Amino acid sequence: MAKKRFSFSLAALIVFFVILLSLISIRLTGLDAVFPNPVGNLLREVLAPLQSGVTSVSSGIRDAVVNIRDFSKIRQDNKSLKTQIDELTKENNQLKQKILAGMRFEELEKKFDSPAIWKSPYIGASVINRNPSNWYHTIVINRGSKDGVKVNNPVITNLGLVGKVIGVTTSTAEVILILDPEGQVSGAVRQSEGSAAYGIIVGDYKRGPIASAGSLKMTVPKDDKVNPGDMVLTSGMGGVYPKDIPVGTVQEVNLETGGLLKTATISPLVDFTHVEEVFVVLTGGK
Amino acid sequence: MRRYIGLGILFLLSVLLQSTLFNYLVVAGVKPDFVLLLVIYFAFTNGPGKGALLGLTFGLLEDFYVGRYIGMNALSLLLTGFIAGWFETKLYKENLLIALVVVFVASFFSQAVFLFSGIAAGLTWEIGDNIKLIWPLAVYNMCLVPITYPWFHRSITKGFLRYRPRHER
Repeated sequence: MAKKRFSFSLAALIVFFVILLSLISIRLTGLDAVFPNPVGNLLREVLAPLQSGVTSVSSGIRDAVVNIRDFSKIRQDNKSLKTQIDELTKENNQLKQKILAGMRFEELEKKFDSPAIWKSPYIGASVINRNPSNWYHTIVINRGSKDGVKVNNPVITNLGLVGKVIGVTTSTAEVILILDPEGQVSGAVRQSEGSAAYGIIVGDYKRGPIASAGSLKMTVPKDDKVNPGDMVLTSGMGGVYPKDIPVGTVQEVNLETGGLLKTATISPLVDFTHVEEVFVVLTGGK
Repeated sequence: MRRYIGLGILFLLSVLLQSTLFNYLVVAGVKPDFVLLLVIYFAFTNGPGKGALLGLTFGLLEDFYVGRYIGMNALSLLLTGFIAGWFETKLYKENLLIALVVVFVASFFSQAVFLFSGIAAGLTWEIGDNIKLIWPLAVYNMCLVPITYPWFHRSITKGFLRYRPRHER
């Protein structure tokens, strides 16, 4: 009991000086003060490795406890997040489709050069269905009579001829492809001396349960100079298709057995199995 | 000597726990203050002189460890050790209820000294805001008494924190 030996005034003096010293010390060692602190540094260095160990252990325990406590909440979160993912995936897919469609339409805008076509009014359309009937090689597009589409309107892409409209509803139209034997086209091949060789382009698509891609055949007189690599265009005859729409390129030329005609096999420019956007030319029709 | 080593280890352990584990035990914005508890217990069983001395030592060490405002913990723990030691001369130490009251009063007192020493030293602390931190800490420390005091009391009367007179060494 050391304090009991001091007189009251001495004790008061000691307390006063202790408080004064403390306040001065606090004041001098504030946040921005720089001073040597060997004791503190030693303490920190001793405690630092222990602290990191205890912290990692205790945070692990805490995480486990929190996980158990929040399990039902996490499950709920998980559920709602999954729903959100589904929604976002759906949205994302829709946006992707829109972007891709936009890219294809952009591609579509790089058209072939044919004043006969492009001076006529035309509208873009998307393919919404393929081969709805077993009888014709057709596609269905999302434009109909309310857009001004009529039967016999030519349908093209930026590359060339696709076919013609054979049936119209208010908002859709059925298009028969030139691959179908019913969708014959009057074609013309520019010969080497400049004049055109005319013939009928007929698709050799066979009807049946299994659709074959098909190619195009064009029969021309034997004397006409048609060579592999030649470009086949529409002739403009027959009234349905305007002149000079590209159809395809000649792949090979074979003599018919009769000897009077020869047949040119034409590979179409348009990829009919993958065509998704087309133009309907609003000319002619009935 | 043995008891001082024991106290030193307890101090290091308290600082260690306060800076790590107790950050996960924050209630009402405060975590338990084991250094303060140690000083109160020690003073309450060893009297004001030793209590004040231990408070000063631990307070200074804590201040050095924190590394700024050196003297705040020292002053507050010094005075707290003295107050808790003063209770030693007046109160019955074996009673847990009395220990509860002593810890509450001493904790409250130490935080008040801490706060006012900071303000007196010119820190821009709002009394109103910080007084809200004083009550929870006093209550929190008090809640730890039933867990820790019996152990400490046993150790200081029979265990390794026991004061051994010179002839026993």
